[in-house]
Amino acid sequence: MVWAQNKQREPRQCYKKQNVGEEDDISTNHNNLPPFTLAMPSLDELKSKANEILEGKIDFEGQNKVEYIVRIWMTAATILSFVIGFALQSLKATFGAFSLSVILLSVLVVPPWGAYNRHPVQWLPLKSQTEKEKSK
Amino acid sequence: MHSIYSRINNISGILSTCLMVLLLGISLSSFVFTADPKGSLEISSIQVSPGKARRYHNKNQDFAFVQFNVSADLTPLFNWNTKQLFLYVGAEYTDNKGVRNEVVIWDKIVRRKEDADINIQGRNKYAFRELSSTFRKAPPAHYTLKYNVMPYVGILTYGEAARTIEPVAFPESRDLS
Repeated sequence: MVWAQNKQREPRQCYKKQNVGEEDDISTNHNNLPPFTLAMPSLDELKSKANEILEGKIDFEGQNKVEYIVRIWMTAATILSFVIGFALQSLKATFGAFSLSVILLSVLVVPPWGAYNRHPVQWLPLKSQTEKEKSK
Repeated sequence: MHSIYSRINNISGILSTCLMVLLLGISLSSFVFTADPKGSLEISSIQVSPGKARRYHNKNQDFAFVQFNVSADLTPLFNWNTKQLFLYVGAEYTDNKGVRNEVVIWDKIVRRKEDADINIQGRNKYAFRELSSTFRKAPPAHYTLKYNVMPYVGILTYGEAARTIEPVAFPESRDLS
């Protein structure tokens, strides 16, 4: 998580995995399958889709933002709920305010809202085969 | 922080720290409240009678019967961190051998602030006996009303709300029946 604390970050540049091209080759082999499997999504596809939704991925900028929000929010909630309870002389008010703020925070931060996915990773273009040969 | 689970994990981690800090703050806040209410305690009657304890059938011993009036406004003891008060009336005397005795003869639990202004005519709830089985040589005793403040979070605190002005002597033992 060291990179998350680095404030001055350049746009992230990564190389795509080398085996992307190979995947294409594998997908062509699916033509041998019976026709009805093509009409609806396969079980594996559904599984990966469900996993994606359950995982709720957010980008690096979003992760940084979430960590900051959680820290500030929880500190403020602790202090505020103490003050509220002390002023009203009631522990019920303290823990009511505290638990309410925790619920609000979870709603704000746990689902992968669009605001946390505004800075998707910029992939570099694939190096073409000819360039590779040239570098050799 | 990239997935839902790691975000929940992060929140719950900080939540436990914040909760501990909050509880610590609440327990420390009890020291801000330094109410020390005073009331009055009078012994209206005291009698000593010989009898047999249920536990020791073949031993004659003296039983003291104490009636008292207690009045104290203990509402200042209730703050946001007070769960309940434990009140108790005790007899204090130092016997001839120099042993300090403190015998609790009555108690009461106050759960609500509305019930904390007490004005009670009571008598001893618990059998009041002397260790030497007789009160004949026991010196006059002071009676006190003490309280124990039980907080929701934090430490128990004790205090004395009332005390008899003069020590009350034990009368001669006589058969009441």
